[in-house]
Amino acid sequence: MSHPIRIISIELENYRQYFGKHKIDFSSRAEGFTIIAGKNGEGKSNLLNAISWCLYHQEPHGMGDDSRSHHSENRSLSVINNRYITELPEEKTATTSVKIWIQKGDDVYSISRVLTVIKHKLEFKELSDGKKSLLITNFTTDKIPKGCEIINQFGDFVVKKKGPGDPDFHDTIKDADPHTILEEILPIGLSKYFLLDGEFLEGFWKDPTIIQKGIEQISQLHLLSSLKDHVDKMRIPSKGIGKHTDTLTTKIQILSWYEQSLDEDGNEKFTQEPRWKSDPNDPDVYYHATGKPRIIDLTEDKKKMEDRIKEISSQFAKVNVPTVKLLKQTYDEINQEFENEEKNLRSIRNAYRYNLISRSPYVFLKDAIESSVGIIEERMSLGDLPVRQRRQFADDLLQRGNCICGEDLHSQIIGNKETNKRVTNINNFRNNLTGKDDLDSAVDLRYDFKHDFIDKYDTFLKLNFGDPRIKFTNSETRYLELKNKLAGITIQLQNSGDNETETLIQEQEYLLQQMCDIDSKISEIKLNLAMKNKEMTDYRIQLDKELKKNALAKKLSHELTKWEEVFEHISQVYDELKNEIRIDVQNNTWKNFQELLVNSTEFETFKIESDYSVYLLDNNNVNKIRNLSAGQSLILTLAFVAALREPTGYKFPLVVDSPLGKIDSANRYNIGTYLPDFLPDEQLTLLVTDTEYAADLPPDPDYPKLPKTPVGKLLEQKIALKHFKIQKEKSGLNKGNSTIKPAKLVFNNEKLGWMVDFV
Amino acid sequence: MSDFDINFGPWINYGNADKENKITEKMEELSTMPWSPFNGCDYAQIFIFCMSYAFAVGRKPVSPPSKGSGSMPASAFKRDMRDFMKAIAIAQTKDLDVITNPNEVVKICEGFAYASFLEVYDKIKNRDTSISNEMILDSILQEIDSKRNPKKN
Repeated sequence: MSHPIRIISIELENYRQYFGKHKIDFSSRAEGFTIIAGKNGEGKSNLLNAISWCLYHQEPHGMGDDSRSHHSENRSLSVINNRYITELPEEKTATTSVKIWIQKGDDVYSISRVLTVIKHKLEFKELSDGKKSLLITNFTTDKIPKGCEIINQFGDFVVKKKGPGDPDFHDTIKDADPHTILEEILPIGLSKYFLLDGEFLEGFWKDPTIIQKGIEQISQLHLLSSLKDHVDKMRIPSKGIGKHTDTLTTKIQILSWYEQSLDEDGNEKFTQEPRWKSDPNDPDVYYHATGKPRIIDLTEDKKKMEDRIKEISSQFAKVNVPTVKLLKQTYDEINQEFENEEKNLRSIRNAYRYNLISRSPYVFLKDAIESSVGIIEERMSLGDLPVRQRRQFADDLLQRGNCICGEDLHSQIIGNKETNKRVTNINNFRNNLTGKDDLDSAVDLRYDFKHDFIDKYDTFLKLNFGDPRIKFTNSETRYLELKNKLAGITIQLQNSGDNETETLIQEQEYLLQQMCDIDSKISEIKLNLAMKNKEMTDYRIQLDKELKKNALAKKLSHELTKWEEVFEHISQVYDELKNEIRIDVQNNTWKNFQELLVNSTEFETFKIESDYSVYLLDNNNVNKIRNLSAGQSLILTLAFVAALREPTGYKFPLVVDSPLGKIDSANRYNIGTYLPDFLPDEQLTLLVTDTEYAADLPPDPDYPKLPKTPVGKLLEQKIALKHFKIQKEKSGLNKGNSTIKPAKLVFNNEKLGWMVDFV
Repeated sequence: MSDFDINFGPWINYGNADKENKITEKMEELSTMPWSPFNGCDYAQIFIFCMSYAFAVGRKPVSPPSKGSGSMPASAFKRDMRDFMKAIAIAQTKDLDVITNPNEVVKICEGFAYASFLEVYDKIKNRDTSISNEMILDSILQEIDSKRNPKKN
């Protein structure tokens, strides 16, 4: 797992805007960084897409849902180069390919994907200016020109390997499926953590599941988690031992199905209730029926709703009415407090409800408890209890052979009959105790009732009801106060006369209510799960006892015990490992963030909780994670991605698209200075624009003395850089296509500035 | 664990044979509906609550109709619940030896629980909608406490 992985080269042929063959040889970390410069829309993101397409048959980069012209252009671009396919005669085959050479440890892999189509008659659309635009069709996962037919529908995907002693590459198909081999080299689940594009970096902290997946997949914790689930299933014994044990086993199975939302055949069980979706045009997806999967569904939906609420907030911010803005700001502040109070109230409510249900019977039965304790004490004072002591006393007397009063208690059996009357009396006394052992439970009962309840009645009432009631009332009052405040502000916002604002408010209110409902549903399911878990534990104990009674079932019982032990060990290891890695990632992220961010003193702490919720607290203990500037968010993401590798030992190549575009001068300066010290031994490639990389740092009013040195020159002072430049042709036959060639950072005397230019 | 705990049951009757009063449906409602403070609880917890309430307000035990067996598994009754059941049986019979007869203990407890089940259900289901799940239980608790200590109020 910890073998360093690096991309040696990539070769594109007729891929998207790259006509003909284009090859890039990447620097290893020992050789420095690879910098690929190009303007927006000229093909940087499509280099990332070329890697994704070759490895995973996906093209997720640079397809953002915004209206930036190069994004919409990219969305309508065929995977096969336009010039190439247009110039090709009809009924000829066309091939598009991407080939990547990757090194992992001492092995080198050659990974290639080839798409082959037959060109028939291409279809064009006439534009308003009279020009023609090639029509594109979505064919399975590939976008191809309309009028082409794919020959190899899933693309030829080949992985070849060359070991240290091998003279040449050899096909790996004999060893395993190429996709399986690729999963061992660079798993698809991790691709978003090494092929970083701007959109992903910007949205990183909006989706907490990214944090969880990052930590669990990179550290391979998900494998341990799957193993744990598998072993959990082994804890359910097979049937056939006896009627009662079969019944218990069935009960355990039913509870387990509930927990995992499975039907009797072990298939996932869903309801007919559709899940929430932000886009009404998306297809319906349904909730799991029960248990943990349903909680996961609900939690995911809630996160999506939170994101939508954040979007609404940012839409509010765009409303150009100062009063509305001020109101919205106040709303956000109170809403934050409201959400915190809501959580607090939920926890207090649950604790209080638990006490009311399980402790009230003590109060209801106070008279019964006092009466029964009195009866028990009376029997104890008479020496009736405990029974085991009375039996012991009789045994001792018979063993001693004489009473404390001196009477002879030796057995005198004549003709199978005891003739010593005193011995007979003691034996009768002893026999009368048979079946009365249950009475000894009354001794414990008395102690528990007296010790825990009667002697501390007032304290009992205060601790179980008085204090929780006060806490509950206070929290509920505060919750309602905040809710009313929010309602007041909402009315003011609605009265601001802005229709758009009103619609947004209505949607926001709807979502808040939905989130509230989801919280209640999750609480209910958690409670149910906890109760059913207790029930399952009871059944397991009963089953264990039953199995032990049956000699034939001893083996099975032994196996079950072992599976129990294995499960507990795995659970313990999983929890410890997860905790350890999470804390390592948390600490390293914080350390990296402080190094990279100029004004990090604004923040006090960074925390990743055990449920993977993230907190970046400022000096007033306010969580700013959802209110970071674009630059802060990007830096924190880089810090996190860097931190992921340190405790996990995973060393894969990092390719980052436009990392500095939205970062202010001071932070760009910091990144230029400290990035070379980051992630030692790991390959780093940056896809940059001249503006973010080669241009002088713009003046920053907060840091008037900040040097103007471009990021490229700052990097160059610390590490060797290998440059490439992507350039789109503006005229001639190759118009609209891009070329990639070696380049260098040079000073342009005409423009009086640095730029990346062809060698 | 004493024999008492093992021999307890195997099934406890809360009145599921009482079709006329729809006891089963009502029990299910109490344990699953959002308006019920017992939402998410086992039947056993509701049973114990009703049983204790009946004793506190002085209801006479009423044997639930029976169709041979009960419908709650004995395993649902945890140690503290069983202690409550023993206490109520001892207090009711004024005889400690009753706890050596699990069937008798269960019978007494079933009687108390059944005697107040509908009353507790009604208090919860037909309360003023402004009263929260917590406060309805709290008001029942206060009702008992004030009966016991009238001077407090």
